[in-house]
Amino acid sequence: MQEMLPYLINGISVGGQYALIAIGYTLVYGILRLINFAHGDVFMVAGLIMVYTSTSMPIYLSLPVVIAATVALGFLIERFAYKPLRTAPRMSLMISAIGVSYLIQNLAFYITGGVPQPVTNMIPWISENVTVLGASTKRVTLVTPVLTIVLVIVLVLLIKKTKIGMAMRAAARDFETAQLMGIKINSVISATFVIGSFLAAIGAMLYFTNYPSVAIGSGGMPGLKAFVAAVFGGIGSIPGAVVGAFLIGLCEEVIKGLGYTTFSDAFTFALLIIVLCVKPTGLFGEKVTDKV
Amino acid sequence: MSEINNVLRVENVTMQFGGVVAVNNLSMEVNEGEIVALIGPNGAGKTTAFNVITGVYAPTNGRVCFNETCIVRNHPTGKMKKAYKGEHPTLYTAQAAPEETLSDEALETWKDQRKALDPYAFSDHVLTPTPDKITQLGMARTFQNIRLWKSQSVFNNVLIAMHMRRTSNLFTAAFHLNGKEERAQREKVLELLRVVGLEDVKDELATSLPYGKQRRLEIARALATEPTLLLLDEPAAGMNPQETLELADFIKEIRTKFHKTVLLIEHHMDLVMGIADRIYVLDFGKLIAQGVPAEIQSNERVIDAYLGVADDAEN
Amino acid sequence: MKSLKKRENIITAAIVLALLALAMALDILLPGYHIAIKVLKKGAVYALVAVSMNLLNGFTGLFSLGQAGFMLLGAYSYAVLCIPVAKRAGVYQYFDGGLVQFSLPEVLGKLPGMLAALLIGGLIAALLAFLIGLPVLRLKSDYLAIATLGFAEILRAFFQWNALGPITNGSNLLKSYPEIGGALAYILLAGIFIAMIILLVNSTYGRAFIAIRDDEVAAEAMGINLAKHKRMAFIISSFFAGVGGGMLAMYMGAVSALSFKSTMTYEILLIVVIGGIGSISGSVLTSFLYVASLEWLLRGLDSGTFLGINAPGLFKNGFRMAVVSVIIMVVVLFFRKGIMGDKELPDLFKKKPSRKMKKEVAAK
Repeated sequence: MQEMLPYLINGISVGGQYALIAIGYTLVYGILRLINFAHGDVFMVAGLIMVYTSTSMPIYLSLPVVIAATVALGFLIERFAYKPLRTAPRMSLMISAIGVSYLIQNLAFYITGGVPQPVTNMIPWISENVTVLGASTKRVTLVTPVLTIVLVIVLVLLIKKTKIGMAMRAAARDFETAQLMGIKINSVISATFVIGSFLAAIGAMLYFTNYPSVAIGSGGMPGLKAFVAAVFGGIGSIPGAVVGAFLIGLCEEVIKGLGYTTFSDAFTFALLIIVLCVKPTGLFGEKVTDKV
Repeated sequence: MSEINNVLRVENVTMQFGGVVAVNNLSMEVNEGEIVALIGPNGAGKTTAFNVITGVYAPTNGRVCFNETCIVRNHPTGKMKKAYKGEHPTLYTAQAAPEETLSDEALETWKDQRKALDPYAFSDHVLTPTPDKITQLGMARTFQNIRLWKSQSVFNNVLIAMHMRRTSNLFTAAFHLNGKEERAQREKVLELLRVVGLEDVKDELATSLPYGKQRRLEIARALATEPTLLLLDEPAAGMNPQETLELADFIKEIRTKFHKTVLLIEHHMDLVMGIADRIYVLDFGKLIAQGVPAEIQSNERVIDAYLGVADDAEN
Repeated sequence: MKSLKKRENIITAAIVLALLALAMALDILLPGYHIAIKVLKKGAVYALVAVSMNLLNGFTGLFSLGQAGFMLLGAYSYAVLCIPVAKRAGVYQYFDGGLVQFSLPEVLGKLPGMLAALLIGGLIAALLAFLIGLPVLRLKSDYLAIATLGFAEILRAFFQWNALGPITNGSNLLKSYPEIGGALAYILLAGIFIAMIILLVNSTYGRAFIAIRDDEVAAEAMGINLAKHKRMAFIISSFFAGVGGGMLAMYMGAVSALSFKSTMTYEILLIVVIGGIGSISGSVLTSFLYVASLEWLLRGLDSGTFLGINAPGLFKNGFRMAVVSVIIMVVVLFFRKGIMGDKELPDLFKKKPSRKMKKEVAAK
């Protein structure tokens, strides 16, 4: 058990980071019924921006810049790649998302030359080493779950208690009727992407403090895993996405700890397929019936 | 004496979606050669009934028999059982007993008769074939919201409906070795189009046709599956009086020339009163009246359902 | 079949024959490593895979992202079955020469052996499609995409697993297997398989697939069994993807599961979309365009000089792909129907009705 401890701790931490990304997926899917393939790449770009800004400006400046830039990116993607296709068939929208993901990865490759960018100036305090129950780890692994839960609580309150939150829930329920009822659907959708990107930025800052190297493909796997977490928890359900994310993070690390590193990724996909075949609506999801 | 053949028999069908009872204990019959109409205000559950009959939904309770073969059968389970039992204490078992109380002997006889027709009566067996299997048996339908294949021509829309009657398998078809069958089917499609008067637009895109012609195309497509029973869901919707008259004549022709039986849902009262042999009236999922057109026209409950006067007066 | 005699079909046939003649000429005149030959070969392979994906995604409307997985199966099947026995010890050096100790070209003769290996690759891919089709095809479009993507990734993980090394060579390359010939061979081979798909699409089953895409509720109501036909489309598409994978292995000369990432599926998907969903000629055309642009015309964008403009600071590694990605986004956003829409090559040459004819039709 003692050998598994660092893996378990890391699992909770990674789970928290996946959760922050997963919320972005589940929010967007709930309203637009779109799997935002580019979300993982937005996460990766946040990491890159963190690398560049942390070397060229003081830390208390670079963090807000990372957040602002990531939010802007998410907003722009929605505005230019998804909004024009809102009336197009679902496949076109998905293809656009794939295209954006492709574009971001290729641009990142061009700019970085394909070389993984090391995080040289880490965020202070959370990147310090601490000892927990005999295992040595970075403080970020303890901060992440706490921060994640705090942010999730804030988000759930926002959705339940504020006007914009209610608008989001209405749009997720019935997109067209929400529009007819006078809800400014564009603002709602933009807000969704802003929130998702904001959380992804925080997730990136935490994740890349833990794994201090940003490669072009760094967004791919965490993104996909976060998506699986969202599906597992019930797409459209925030608590579900969070539960799913922690579960996946833990299992992934445990599998690594048991020695089957090549299969830690495959496990996530196997879980996805089992969920889709057994209970596609996920843990907390709702069934939707189509009218004939 | 001629035998009246039951082409379709709907027995105590209930369709419940969670808390909403869309169809409540509906029983209907359609006999060979008849034109039967199912009418009622909007939201009465008519299309839902169609969907149960054609296998799109598995009913919460009841069964549907087609030419004496039971094709759809279910009874409530789990949570549904509880909810259903409250409203229909005697009906939530697999087969509804007749209203009057029978002696035990008579009940056993009645049960045996039922079992002779359906070996799974009174059991927990659920039978819900997919709509394509029901179409194979000889039932075809049209849709309330026209569902033509948008990228295909008028001709192809009808031709595709003949796919299921093919005897060639994937390989002979894929390598175009089924020329004879293909030619024969194309001939039949042309004939059908001639009958509905769409021959001259056969190569046009199906959705480029005016609304009335699209409805006729849907009917032609349904006929292409060689059904015995044709279910038409609001075939006259969106038609002007002239088109409605032509449609009425055409439906009568389907009966006489093609020897089909027709069950239709309709709102156009002139059409219904003009061609229907018998009418069933639904309101809020419940059957409130049945009979020949003359009876229905003077039925107070029917008038109230459409105009809602009596309900308000009672309050 | 009188349609064969129509004007537009003759023109199309002429173009195809011209292309074949060109390929044959280039094969004779140019060395095998020349970029033009490579473009023709790779273009042919991508064309086959793109058409197979179009069959599933474009004609039947099933949004599947598992193509790379089926190609992987086909590629490995071809490689494993065709490595000459003498070379096996070297290739499988960590696995004692490997499990398979024969090579089809040596058993059946060079050409039949290679063809058999390709077909077996296709059949194995089709078998997997059959197995996963049952649960997966019931899912809604977005979920189907993710599930198929997941299966492809799981497959990739398996093929890199060292426990399966005796067959797959684990995380090492499979190489030293023979190639079928020059550009003409690739184009003929791909052409035959694409022709089969064209025949299928124009048959009654092809029309049934299109009906399922356009409105599956209506298709079911008209007697088309959805599960059976979707599985059919899935299996057939996967078969051809497997064969395409085998041909890709031939072209690359060495296979590793690492090359069959989901990015490959995205590439093919984007080719299908740009060519036009539901247009086979569009997929073929765009495949060649894509490969030619990437490998040949736009090479300069990566290496400092392009179209005479010398700007090594701008034109460095990766610029090519960045430019291609931008072009793809432009097409996806502004030319949604793709290059060919849903038309085929003969449609471009059809006689357009003259103004006089149009007036007559309108007057009726």
